[in-house]
Amino acid sequence: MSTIELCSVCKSFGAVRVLSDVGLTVAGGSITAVLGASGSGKTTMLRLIAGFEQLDRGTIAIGGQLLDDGQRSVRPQQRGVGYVPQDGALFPHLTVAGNVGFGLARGQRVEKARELLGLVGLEGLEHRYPHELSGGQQQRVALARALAIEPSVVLLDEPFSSLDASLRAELGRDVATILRARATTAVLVTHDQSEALALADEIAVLKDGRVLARDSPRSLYRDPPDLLAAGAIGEANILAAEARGERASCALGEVALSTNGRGLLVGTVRLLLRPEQLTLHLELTSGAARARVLELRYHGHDALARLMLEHPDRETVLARVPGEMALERGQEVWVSAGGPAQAWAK
Amino acid sequence: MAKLSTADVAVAPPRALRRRRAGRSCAVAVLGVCIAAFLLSPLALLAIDAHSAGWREIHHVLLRSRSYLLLRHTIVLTLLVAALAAVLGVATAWCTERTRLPARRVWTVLLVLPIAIPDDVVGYAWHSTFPGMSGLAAATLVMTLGTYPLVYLPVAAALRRSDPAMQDTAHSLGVGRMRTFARVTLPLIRTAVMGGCVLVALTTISEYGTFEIVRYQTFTTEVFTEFQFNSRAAAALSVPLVCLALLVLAVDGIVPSRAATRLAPSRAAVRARLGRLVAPTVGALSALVGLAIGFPLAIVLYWMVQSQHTTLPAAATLGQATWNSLIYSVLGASAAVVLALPVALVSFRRVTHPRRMLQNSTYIPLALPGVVIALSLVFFATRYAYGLYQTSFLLIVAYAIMHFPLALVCIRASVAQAPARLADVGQSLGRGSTSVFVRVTLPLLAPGLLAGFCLVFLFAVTELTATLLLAPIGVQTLATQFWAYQSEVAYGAAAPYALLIIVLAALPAAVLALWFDRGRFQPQLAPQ
Repeated sequence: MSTIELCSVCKSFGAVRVLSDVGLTVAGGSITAVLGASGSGKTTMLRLIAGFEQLDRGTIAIGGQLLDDGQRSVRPQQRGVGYVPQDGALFPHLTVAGNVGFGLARGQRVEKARELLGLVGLEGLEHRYPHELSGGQQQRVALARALAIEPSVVLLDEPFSSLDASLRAELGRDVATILRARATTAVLVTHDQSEALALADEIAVLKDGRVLARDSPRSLYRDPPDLLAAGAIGEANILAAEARGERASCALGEVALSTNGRGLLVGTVRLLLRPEQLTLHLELTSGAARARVLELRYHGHDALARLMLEHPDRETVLARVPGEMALERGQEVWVSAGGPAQAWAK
Repeated sequence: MAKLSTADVAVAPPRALRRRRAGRSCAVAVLGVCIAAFLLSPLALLAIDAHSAGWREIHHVLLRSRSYLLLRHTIVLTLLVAALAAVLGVATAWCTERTRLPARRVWTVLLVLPIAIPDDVVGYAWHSTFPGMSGLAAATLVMTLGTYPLVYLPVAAALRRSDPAMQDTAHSLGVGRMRTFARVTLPLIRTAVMGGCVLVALTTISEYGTFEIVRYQTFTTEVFTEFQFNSRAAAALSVPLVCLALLVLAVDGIVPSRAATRLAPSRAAVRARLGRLVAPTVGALSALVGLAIGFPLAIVLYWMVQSQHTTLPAAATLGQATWNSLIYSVLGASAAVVLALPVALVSFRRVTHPRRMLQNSTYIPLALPGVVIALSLVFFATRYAYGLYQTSFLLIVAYAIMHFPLALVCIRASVAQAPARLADVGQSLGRGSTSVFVRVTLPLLAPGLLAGFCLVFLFAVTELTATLLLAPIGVQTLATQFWAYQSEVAYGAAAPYALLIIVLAALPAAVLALWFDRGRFQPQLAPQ
């Protein structure tokens, strides 16, 4: 149960600032997802924790032990940090068992490799070579290899990005289950919001080398600290509104505001409404705004409708509607909003 | 159970904060600089040698009409051979890679084997059969037959790497077969063709034995002849020779390589059905292989059978010469590989402009003909280190310098296959960097090291010029002994030596052909 602590971490490559003043604490035994677009510095953060790169400034500690303070650093082979790279990076010249047992003493290799392959669901594949495995199997081997050294911390660098969608979800679930069962502290780097929301205990949103927000998936979605963080997680409708204390009026009519200890707002604000907070009516409804269906993304159990409001600025909004609701492109509908909504002064 | 838990505890490594060292990567770069300096030392020695000869000597040697004749001879021959080798190389590569050629695997080896036959042996075969054959035509024929594999190998590899989807796309856009070849395929393999042609040109420029046999004078033959009378004139003559070769090498740098070589083909190319063309294609390839391998081999065997009536060399001298050739070539190839490994690793972790420049500068020995390297080493030994003069050490150094770039090409190809990420993962699993190098990096580089060794061995065992100049007095190799006998028109006595060279060179040549052909099966890891 080792806590990872990053304190005002800075890292540049030449003139390019990759991480500036990043602070992050990952509680022992929990899974934190670092969410960010490519180039946001998330892989660099992992490589710093693993010890492949060294800090410019700041500190990194695991389980209270200082690993890098900007001048001195512990070498990667002495950190006991398991690393699962993007495409597995299995050693192509070694069998599956050879890969899993790589970090172990000679006597332990066979037994331990078999045990770990059982854990990741790959019994009997000990003698295969990496190129004889599917992408998902390669990732499972990479995880088993990282877990073999009994690491205090496991780092996963977009481990599922090269897999197709259904496999990604299944493997993600399995990996999270395995890590939770062993109470291993893990950092999962990803650019996939749904992956982060589904697997992590905590999400850190990284943008341009800074941590924008950090919270549990639920709070981050329901109660993001600012508009940037709101846009980073899930679909978001951001609307201009006129606030009067506990209520505000926007293009969709009157909405209750969530105060959440931030104090009452008065004046022009920006309003966050998640798609499921919008309700669609097929007939004229009082208090609802008239809109036209621009586009429909059908998911089976529900659907996302992109709507253009007819009044006043022809803004577009996204609404989540039940799957069985019959909608067509160009159809006229009425939208109302249910609170409470987050708001920030403009 | 108790045992297991103590073992688990033992795994927990000691964690110690260490002062950062100037990284390993830096040490490799420093080593690389030293090796580059060593490799470029013949250029400096040549400059000193020529300078000490004095401007008067240089003027005297260079500004005579004979120099223009030599220059014209060299350039005309080089252009002819390069053009013909390009045509042969591309055509044969197309046949083995893009058509359903019967017994394809056999052809991939047979088409490469001509590099195992020394060009002077081919020249000897033609000249001893048709004594009238001489001059430009003979030189062109012999050199083309001996060097086209240098185009075939890279072009075949490039064809294999290029994504067949590009050709399919061109067809789907309504472009016909011939125009697709000209507009899509040819640009894709252009870099490979250029690279091969540069190698062919450099080989032709530095060839000595063949041209001596077919009586065609080039700069290299002149330098060699001058050296026996006046070493200063030889040094002066070497200057334009090296300039010419450097010019050729520069051509390779000028051609931009935009080819998407990093793209791993999504699937194998659909091979064209040859249909009625099977017989003509197989016939043409057989004729080529027959001329390049069959004919010289047959003539060598013919002379051996003939000479049973007269005199065959004693088995003892034959054995001694074979041993000498073998040991010098093995040592030279090992030295080249050992030197090339750190240079190839210079851009393993960090790719910067200076590091690339450093690597590329080590290709310059390609442009130094064997005769020039040998001259500079003789100059060095007689001037600064007399103890080394007439030792086999100097010959091995010459082999290593001359063939270093060939070893580097092979090793760099496998460094590209062994990304630094794998070494990172090895370290994070608790292994020290030495252990990771031995258990991860080295095994991944092994095929490249083997290929590099084979390539250098092959060129060293067939090498004549530097061997003639540097082999210690009284020490004979297969190449020098063959040369001595055939110079005395003792064709029968020369034949067994030629045959042994071919036998020694054939195995590594076959290994190389298979290594190149296997290229497609190597795992392609996405670039980081």
